[in-house]
Amino acid sequence: MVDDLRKYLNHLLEKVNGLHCILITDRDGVPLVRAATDKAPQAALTPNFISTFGMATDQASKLGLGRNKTIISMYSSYQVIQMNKLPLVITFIGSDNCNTGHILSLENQIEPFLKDLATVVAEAP
Amino acid sequence: MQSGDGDTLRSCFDSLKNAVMGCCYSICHKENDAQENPVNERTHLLEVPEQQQEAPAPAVSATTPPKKPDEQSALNRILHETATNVIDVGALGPYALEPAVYSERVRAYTARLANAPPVPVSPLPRLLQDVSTSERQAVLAKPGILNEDRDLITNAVKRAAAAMSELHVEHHEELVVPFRVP
Repeated sequence: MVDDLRKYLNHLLEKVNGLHCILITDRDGVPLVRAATDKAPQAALTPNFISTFGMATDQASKLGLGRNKTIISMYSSYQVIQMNKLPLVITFIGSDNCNTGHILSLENQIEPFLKDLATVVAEAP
Repeated sequence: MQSGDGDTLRSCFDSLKNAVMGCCYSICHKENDAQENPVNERTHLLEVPEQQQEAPAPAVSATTPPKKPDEQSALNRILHETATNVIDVGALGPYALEPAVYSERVRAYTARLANAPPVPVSPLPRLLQDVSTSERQAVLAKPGILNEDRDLITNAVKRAAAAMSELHVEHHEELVVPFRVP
């Protein structure tokens, strides 16, 4: 399952110009599937970085605008898009000039596989 | 909980003390009645009947235990709701799992994913698709478009361009209309 999914994510990675990494983790940043190029910044792949989103999305959901679904962070050289699919978190890391809308459109193509992955996380201790 | 029990015990003790003192006082009072001395140092400043004075204490002690859990649960509920609604900015810092927990979880996920059934990955829908070499050669080897068809297309495009160039906008009224501002 993981190999098929990784191939599929690599295929998606090639489709979007400037996208460096697609990461599916649990809310603590523990990776389940990862597809990354050499250009992906290693600091952004660590659980320390990814787990911040779990807290941020919870707090952002209290702002009175409903449940927070996606957080887009723009940095000087990179952009990080994180999607709330709890118990899973999808993280996309791309260059700063990568087409953000194109990355967001990948959600529909990854969505069908999340159900199986969510059961893996739910069953784990 | 211990302080709650202590309070209950204390209130019971107070009510018991009041009752005992009330009995003593009533005994003394009867003796005093005989002497017909209504005002002395033991006389109440506010004239409250003894029954009314004593009645509230047991009533409170009797009703307090059922009320306390309600109040406690209500307070807990309010506390929980407040804690849920508060945006805790201080808690937003990065946190890391213990290395042992992290590695254990990675191992568990890997094992479960390895046992999971393969995922049917459907090909993505594409606007343009590659064709095989044989199909490509067959398409390229076909005879080109007929001269008559080419002339037809060329003439149709020329006539369409001519029709477009003859389009004009004829205005019958003034394009700039003054507003009736005094």
